[in-house]
Amino acid sequence: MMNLDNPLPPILNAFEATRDALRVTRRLIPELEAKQPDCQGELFHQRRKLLNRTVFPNHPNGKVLLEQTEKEIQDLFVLNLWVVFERFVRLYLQQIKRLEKNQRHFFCEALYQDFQKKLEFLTAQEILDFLKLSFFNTNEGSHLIGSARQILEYRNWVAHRNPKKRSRVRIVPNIAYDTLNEIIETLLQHS
Amino acid sequence: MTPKEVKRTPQEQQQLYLKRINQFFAQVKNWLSDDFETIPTENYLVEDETGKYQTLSLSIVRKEIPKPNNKIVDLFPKGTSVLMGEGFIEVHGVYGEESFIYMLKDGWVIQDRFGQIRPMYKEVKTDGWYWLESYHRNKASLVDKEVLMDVLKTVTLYDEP
Repeated sequence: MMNLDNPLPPILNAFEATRDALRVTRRLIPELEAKQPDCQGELFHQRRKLLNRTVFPNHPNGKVLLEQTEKEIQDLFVLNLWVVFERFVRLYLQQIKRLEKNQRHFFCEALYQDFQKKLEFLTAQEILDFLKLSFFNTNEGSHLIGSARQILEYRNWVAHRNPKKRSRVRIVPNIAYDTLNEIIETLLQHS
Repeated sequence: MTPKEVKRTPQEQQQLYLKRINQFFAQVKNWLSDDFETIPTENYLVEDETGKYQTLSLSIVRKEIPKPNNKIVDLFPKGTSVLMGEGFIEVHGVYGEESFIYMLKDGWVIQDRFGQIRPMYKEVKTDGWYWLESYHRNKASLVDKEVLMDVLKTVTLYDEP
């Protein structure tokens, strides 16, 4: 018998819980802005009114659902971060300016042409290896690429959920963001 | 995992992590006022790149409030394998989770976008447990009494009297 569970419901649950949370927040903000409550009593009154008007879905395990949603959203955030990062780096490498004619060496030119042709077939790992050899070839630069590699491993785990290849490295979403953001900003400095 | 050149066996990494956890939990106990109590739980299972092993978790509870509403947060050690650090602790409150990361001074030195060689997080001036606050880019706060209270308020309804 196959040991497979439908992976879709947790995603829908996370989506709905997030959407509801955003709706509650959207209700809260204009209410407070419009009234400009200037004392605690007024603020308390507004918040209570808001809660009374908010219908919370009567989910049998609401608390657990929201906890799971937070985790799911964190994973999706890292996944999305990676997808956007990888797309940026591929586009960036495609658009690297060619050297001026007088600086061009026939061998470099051949390598350049070859690289452009192969770019779309390179794996994410190979692209990171290339960045490490080129834009991030110092010790300090390679630290950043090393971190990106750990985020890639985590991304692969989130995307494939292969229990045999479970990423044991914990990733705080903000640190993943700071790392990939620094790489992109560095590439933009070179362009 | 950090890029520092110290090579340690998995067992050494685990020992170091357990030592850091114990020291941190002792500090937490000292920081809290008499309104609180800390309750350690033995045999908390951790799994990371070094393997599976046991440590202890720590609950922070209010003294004057009866069970089960006395619980403020649980601190769960989650192992040595964390991006940009050598250790990870999850803080679980009723209304959310935050995390502390053991970061090393000069542990993560990068060459930034302007070619400058600098630490990834400039506030990391000593080895220790750090909290990465959301909404503040590139900011790591060394966990002390005040930061611990900020984290407690973030994940619970607790407010200082």
